[in-house]
Amino acid sequence: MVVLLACGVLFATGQKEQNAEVPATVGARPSWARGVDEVTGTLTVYTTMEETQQDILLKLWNQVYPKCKVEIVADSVGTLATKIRSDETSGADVVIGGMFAADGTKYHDILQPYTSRLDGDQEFHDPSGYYSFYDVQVMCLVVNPDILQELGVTVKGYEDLLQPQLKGKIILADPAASSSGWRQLQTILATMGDSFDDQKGWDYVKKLMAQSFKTNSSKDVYNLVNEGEYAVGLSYESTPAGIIAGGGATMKIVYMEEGNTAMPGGAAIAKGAPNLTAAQAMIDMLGSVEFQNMRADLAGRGSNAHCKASDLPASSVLGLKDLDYAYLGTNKDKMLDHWNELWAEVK
Amino acid sequence: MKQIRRFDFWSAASLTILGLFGLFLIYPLGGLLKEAVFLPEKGFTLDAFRKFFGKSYYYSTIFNSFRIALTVMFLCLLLGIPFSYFYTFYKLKGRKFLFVLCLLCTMSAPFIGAYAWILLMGNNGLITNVLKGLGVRKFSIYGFGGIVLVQTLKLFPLVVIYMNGAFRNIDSSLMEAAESMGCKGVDRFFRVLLSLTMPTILAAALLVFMRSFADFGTPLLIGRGYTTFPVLIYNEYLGENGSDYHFAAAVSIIAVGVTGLFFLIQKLANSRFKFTMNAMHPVTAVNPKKVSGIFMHIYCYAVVAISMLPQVYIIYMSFRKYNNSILLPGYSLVNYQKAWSKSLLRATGNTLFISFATLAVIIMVAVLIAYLVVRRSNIINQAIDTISMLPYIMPGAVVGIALVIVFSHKPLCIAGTLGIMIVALAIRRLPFTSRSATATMMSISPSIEEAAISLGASKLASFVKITVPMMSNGIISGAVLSWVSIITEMSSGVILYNNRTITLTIGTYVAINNGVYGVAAAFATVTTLLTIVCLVVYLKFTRLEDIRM
Repeated sequence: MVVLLACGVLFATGQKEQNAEVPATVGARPSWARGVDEVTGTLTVYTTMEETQQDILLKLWNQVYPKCKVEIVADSVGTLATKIRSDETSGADVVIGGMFAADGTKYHDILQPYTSRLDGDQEFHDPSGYYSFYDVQVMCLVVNPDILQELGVTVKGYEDLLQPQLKGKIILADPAASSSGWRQLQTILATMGDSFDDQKGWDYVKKLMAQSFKTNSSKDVYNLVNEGEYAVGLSYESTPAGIIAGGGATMKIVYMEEGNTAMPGGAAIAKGAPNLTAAQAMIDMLGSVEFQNMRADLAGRGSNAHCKASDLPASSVLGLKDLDYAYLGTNKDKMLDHWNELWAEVK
Repeated sequence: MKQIRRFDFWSAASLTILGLFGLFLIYPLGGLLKEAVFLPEKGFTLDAFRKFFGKSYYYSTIFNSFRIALTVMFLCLLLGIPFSYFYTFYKLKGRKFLFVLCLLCTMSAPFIGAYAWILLMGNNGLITNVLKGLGVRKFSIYGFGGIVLVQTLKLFPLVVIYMNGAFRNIDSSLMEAAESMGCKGVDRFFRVLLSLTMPTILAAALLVFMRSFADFGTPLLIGRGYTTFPVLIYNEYLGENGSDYHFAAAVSIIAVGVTGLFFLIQKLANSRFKFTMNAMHPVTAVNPKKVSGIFMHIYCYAVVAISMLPQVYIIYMSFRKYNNSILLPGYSLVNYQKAWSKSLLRATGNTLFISFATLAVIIMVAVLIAYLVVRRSNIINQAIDTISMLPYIMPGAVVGIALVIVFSHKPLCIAGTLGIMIVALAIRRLPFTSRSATATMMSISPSIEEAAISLGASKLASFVKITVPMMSNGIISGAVLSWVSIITEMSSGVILYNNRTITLTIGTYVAINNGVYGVAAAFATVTTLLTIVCLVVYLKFTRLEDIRM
């Protein structure tokens, strides 16, 4: 209901954007916010955010900057990057989501550096100065309890996915096509082997492949598990957690008993952003306590040291393993090739 | 001595068209070829082709696509020919209604059908759960079977439309002659009717094959690991971590080669059936016999009902209550509200603008080509005719990538504009419109024009005032169906669109991709409504019998 109302509000404000009488939220403006009249025009946001996340982003933005209209292009990060690269008139101002600390310089050609006004409050920083992190991504399994019950199995971690009853009932995202698929592969290799990227970890991957269906979209993973198409999905945490918090979902989240990994994810300003002021204002807002608290309410782990804890389990109980970003950056292609070869062998 | 022709309007027209083809067709194809075989750091290289043929993961997609396209082709003929036979030779009840529904089936974007079938027969679909209750479990809508089902139901009406025309052109005296020699019923159907209509059957088969081969939305949604050629191209071009333009371009070139080969095979087969017929006595529909009549009605209505099912279900789903991707109990207009905030209005506006602009362009070009080819046959104009057929063998994704490669940077930077969408769609549709315009042109005797000219009209005036009006019937009937296939086209658009140039079909695709299924249903419903309105207006002006693609 709340979200419905929020939609209604968004809907109303969206319609009135030309109308100067829209009352600006006066009173205590947040310290990071620029003047209402300073941020105007249209801000074109290219984002990997799912709808519920987009909703809260727009809600706060329209409160703080009522005179600047946001246009959203949502897709997976590779598609967004290709679209920006191939379209000089894309008009992209910011890219939000899908950009991870381990990506190195992969997207630098379409971005420009910017240091957020709130950089000092953040727990993670990009040494290159391009990305501003607002999210900490941990991984999880999404399960459909009804189907698990029907099949008579319980799932507590990666090892449980090898049960014969689950054959064909598991969905995972292709690490070569989806950033969350790549993150899951990292997590499996960090938790299932004796050391990262060792034979033991890959042996597990091979067995898991025989059980699983592969999709290109991370959104398929949780949506199809929720709809009962699959029993278990290998997902990232925040979006399915948000959907569950929104109410009405069948799926549940299971944190792998074998352990987990965390990685800061963020946003950046597009190269040649037509509305640079608004783009900077957006990056500032993403790091703010206000935005991160709204995300926390919906289930999102914030990067701002002052933001409140979400209802998600504390990271200390997840059994986090460290990841070597430099190693990931240089060995990504090799690992993905290995994945593809194994997949071809198994199928 | 050869007479030297003055440089007139027609010479200018043929040069202009040649120039347009050069710029929007040959140049992009050249760019695609260059991207496929040339790397800045390596120079000329065939490594992308080696990569493709080196791994079964890649080259198996050709076989996958071929298997699907051939299966769909045969099934469409199997469904469509009897349907059309019953429809033309017998008085079926509500045949107008039947035919309109048949047209509607083919007019929705195929991936919408795919999505609806997932809702109906997916692992947790409506029908699946009913069957589960009855103890039936072992079937899957995903993969090969699902793609074939969705495409067959979407494409068989094309066969019906083609065959209706062909069957009506059969002279009833031929039928009577066959009968008088003892060739009746089923025997006559196979030995006489099918042989007489073989050219049309082959043409329809080719069309279905090409459409199925190029379709990208259906296998993407319902393929679930059964990767086809266009999906591979798309993934290589837009995939999240693996964007490889060089490889995507190489695969595109291979795609054009494969479809081109199939096109040639069809041409070869077709040349064996050269004959002309003149239907002085067209067949008249008769009342079917009782038992067979019941069977015919059941057959036709069942096929159409099953094909319409996804569209009806999608309209129903658009009124269900959703919280983003979560389906809630009850009904509401929230999907439309959300779609509205996601530029439904802009998408509708763009769709109308793009479709009418494209239509204007292709009609103009097609009419000019028809005139040049039929009345001014020379080397340049024959070349124009051949080039205009080229897009026939280019899947939409290939057109999209080729255009992006050459038009995304200076000197001609039109990527991301409505202009490039119009170019892409015009290229895709031109072969069809230009074919039908040429056919119409051939049936108009030049003596009428000559009469006008001898009475003092200029060449241009006689063309505009005499020839074009005479062609208009044929052109309009082709154009309206072109219009519909333009608004449901997405394979090139999905590569070219951005938030300013989004259309209804792409809006639907984006919404499905983002998991907001209710919004997708709302977009799809608006598209369907638009199609129905257009069809109704169209039927006010055309006889059903004149419909062609």
